[in-house]
Amino acid sequence: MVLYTPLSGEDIFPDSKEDLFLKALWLEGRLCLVRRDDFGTMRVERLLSTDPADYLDPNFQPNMPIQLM
Amino acid sequence: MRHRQRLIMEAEPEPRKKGKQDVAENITEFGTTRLPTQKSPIQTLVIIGQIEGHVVLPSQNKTTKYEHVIPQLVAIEENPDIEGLLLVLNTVGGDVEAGLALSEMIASLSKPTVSLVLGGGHSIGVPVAVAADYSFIAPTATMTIHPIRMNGLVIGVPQTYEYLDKMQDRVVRFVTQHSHIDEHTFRELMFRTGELARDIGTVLVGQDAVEVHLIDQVGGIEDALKKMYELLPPREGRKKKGHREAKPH
Repeated sequence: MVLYTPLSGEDIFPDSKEDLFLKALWLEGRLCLVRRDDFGTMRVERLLSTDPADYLDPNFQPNMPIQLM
Repeated sequence: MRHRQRLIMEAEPEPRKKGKQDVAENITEFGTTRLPTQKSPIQTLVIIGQIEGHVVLPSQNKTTKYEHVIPQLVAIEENPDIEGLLLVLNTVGGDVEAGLALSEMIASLSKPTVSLVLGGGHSIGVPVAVAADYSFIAPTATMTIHPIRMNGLVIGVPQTYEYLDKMQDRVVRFVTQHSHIDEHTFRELMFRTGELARDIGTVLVGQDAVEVHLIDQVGGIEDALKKMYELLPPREGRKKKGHREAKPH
């Protein structure tokens, strides 16, 4: 792998291993990155959609809690 | 099925939000309370953080993953309702292979593409930005042009240098073919000393990138969308539907 970036190797690959829980999920036909907060609630981290209208949907705003079936 | 219930509940208030649409008319005429949702004819692809390739980066990095973006680009090319693609970049570069893969996909789309560099479009972000049919850079945005470096085990043999040189050439060739910068100027910017603190290369700020003919124009979202509508093939009634007239400055 060749990384072409002005960042240093240590910035990208730090010594400490702190794992954030991030998962890609399909919610209502849209691909989302979700994370689990300290209380175990899944929240929208990022919406991965190319349709600008999706970003106006109140259910997909960052940090919105999501309910899984 | 709690999930399904939620979906139905969401569908109902939608027509009311649209305001001008007469919901009662829809019920009587079409027997439906839900208006058909129309996808925007201009899709937006936001490229942020590191461009991630074959190796998953540690989770504290913000990344744009090629397995998300490449299928989206295929979908955009295939969907007849989608007419153009706006790329918004704020990237620190990343994997060469993945960056070039994205750039090639964007450059070979049959639909008009416009890119806008905001904040930064560094390293492998440069070919991604120039892959679009027309490129914009925000006045304060920067682009770092510098040589490729290698992570991990480096074997001290001439082949290592030749390999790096080949990778470098791939990037240089793509950038010079898809922008108006010539190879000599691009390489000169790439190997310049005295500009960066810990590296050789150059940082181009807004107008600088336009002056070396790397980016087409300095501008913002308004200019980018205006250009996008200019590039779209003419269609009856487009102006009324999609685009409001730009305010005179």
